[in-house]
Amino acid sequence: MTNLLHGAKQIIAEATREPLDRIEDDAAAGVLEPWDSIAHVHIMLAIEAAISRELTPEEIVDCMDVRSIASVLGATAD
Amino acid sequence: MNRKVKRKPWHRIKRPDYWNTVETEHLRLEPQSWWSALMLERRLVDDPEARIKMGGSGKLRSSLQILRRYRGPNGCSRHTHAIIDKATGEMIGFHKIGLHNYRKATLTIVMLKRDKSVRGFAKEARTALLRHFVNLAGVELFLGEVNTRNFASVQLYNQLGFERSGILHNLGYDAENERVLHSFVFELHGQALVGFMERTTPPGAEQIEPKRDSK
Repeated sequence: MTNLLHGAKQIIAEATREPLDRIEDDAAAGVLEPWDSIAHVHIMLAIEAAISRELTPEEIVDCMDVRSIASVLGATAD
Repeated sequence: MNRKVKRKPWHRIKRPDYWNTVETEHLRLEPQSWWSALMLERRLVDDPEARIKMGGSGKLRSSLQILRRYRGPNGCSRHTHAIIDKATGEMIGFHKIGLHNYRKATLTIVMLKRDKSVRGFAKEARTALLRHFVNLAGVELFLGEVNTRNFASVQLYNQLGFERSGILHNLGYDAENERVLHSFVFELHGQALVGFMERTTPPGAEQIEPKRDSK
């Protein structure tokens, strides 16, 4: 799970252009200031690139914080 | 002799205040006439990305086709506001709101400019207009339908406190990306709407009770 959290944080850090160490475990859209709509589009596309498939509608709605992104990355890795 | 007084349904009432400009910190939201809103729609049709997001396909429509499908602002149940950046005076998008019976409203927002300079403006515009229509007309339920691939709008609805009430499957086909399109339905009502109004009340401002002058 730690690796998945790290992967999720890395995706968010790249999309928001924030240093990785500033992305906390509880970072979420609307809480982390640079996580705006443009960054969110980049995050969604980066997740799809990482899991090599399109996100399902349920996953699109769920991917609003670090933990849910990590769980999507984990579900695809299984 | 008892004559039954026929009252206009709530969404058919013309209120002069609908034509007031709404001001926010960075934006001016100007109500548009039937004709000026049509000109805004025309600009949307010129934008291929917006065509795919709004219509489900990138197909270019003729002026006649646009006119046939067009239902512009009417001063009571349909409203279009131009979103103008106060700093530059530039029109960066527009917001449509449709009022329906039983105090329900449907929403559409189109940002014609999409870069860092307009960051947070869609949220600011939508927040102000939702508050405007709750205070002015007493809307009790806001309903938004958004393409599942429109990540920015999905995030906007989440941030505003809307709850996802369902998915409409197979609503269109994006031929360019060979993809079947689905839509989310988002709703804001009841306690979530009360919470939204409390969260977004400007400091020092008094909460105005919604008008309840008709059903």
